[in-house]
Amino acid sequence: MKEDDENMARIAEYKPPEWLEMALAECAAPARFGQRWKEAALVAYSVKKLRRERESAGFMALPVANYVESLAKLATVDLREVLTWAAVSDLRELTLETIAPMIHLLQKLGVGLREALILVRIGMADAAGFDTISAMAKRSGDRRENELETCEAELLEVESQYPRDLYMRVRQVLSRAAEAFGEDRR
Amino acid sequence: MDREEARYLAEDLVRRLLLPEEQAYLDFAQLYGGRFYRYFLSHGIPSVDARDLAADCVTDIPLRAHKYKVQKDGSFHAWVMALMRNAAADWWRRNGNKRSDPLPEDLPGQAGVRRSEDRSMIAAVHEALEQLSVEDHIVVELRYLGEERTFAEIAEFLGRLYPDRGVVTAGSVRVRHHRALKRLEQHLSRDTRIRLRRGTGSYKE
Repeated sequence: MKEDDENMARIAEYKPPEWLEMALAECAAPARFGQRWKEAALVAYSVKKLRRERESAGFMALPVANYVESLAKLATVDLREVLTWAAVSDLRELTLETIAPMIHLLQKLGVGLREALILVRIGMADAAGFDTISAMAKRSGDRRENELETCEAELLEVESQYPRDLYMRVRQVLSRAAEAFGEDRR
Repeated sequence: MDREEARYLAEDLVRRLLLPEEQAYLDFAQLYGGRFYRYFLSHGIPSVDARDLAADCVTDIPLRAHKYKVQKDGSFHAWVMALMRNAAADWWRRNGNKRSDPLPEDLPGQAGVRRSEDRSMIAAVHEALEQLSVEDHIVVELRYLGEERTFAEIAEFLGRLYPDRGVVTAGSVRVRHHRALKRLEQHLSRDTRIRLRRGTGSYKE
């Protein structure tokens, strides 16, 4: 018993040698770095929740911005931190310059290439003032099994009415999107 | 790291990450953020880039947890370490050729670049820490290598990581702390890189 007490007293009084404390201090990360890693962890948690929501919701024929926002609402996730992490400044901006981060974000959420391209195409049609959603709903009725084919058919029809410059822009964005899908982000 | 400990950590942390449980993501950051950072620093990555790369790993690796497969001879920890090494190699692949001239070695704090003697010292500490058991490593990590935690806070952290082991007390953490530092002292006092550093008078004896 006395020996135990002595051991405990020695442990309580133990002070590491100064050289060891200094070596550890030199290796220590600044405290603010810990905050950065905590934020990074919370982004991962939010993305995981979004991904889970995406798994249960599946595909929805919506403009890409509305689709991501709907998932965030269902998952009760604040999108701001996730968008900053993904380097997406505006979900509604679909250009050659902004499409790669958007596609990488969709990939992180578990969206496949075909679906991602449809979401982007609906987003671009919506931004140009073409109503694809109600047309798709009319065409597919209650059937969900061929939803992607239905969307693609409707989009082809809508895009055939685009002015040439818009049509070319859409093609370029889609081509960059497909390329970005195959990239390793980091 | 002890194999049984590593396996246990894998089972429970992976399970919590997949749920997903918010605290598991924060625990992962506490467990690995500093470790990633030191590894990247010791491999010549400048401090700010090492911090950001560590943050990328803290986000990306837990999101890949569903790809981790429990293996007889592997562990979650080993898997995480492999991804960390890949991240460093990728960083060098992307950035290595951007430097036309080698940076001067004797510019302390220059653009966050550590001198080579600092890097080798960090590598020595990193390697010595890897020799400790996972729990001893955690105690040293939380006590000395980031925001300083009390023994009670460390006990709470260990209690979350090892829920089946019953209550972890601040007293038992204090004992572990003593043992861990003694071991670290043993490892590092034999290490040439540290001996050289002590020989230069950088460290008070």
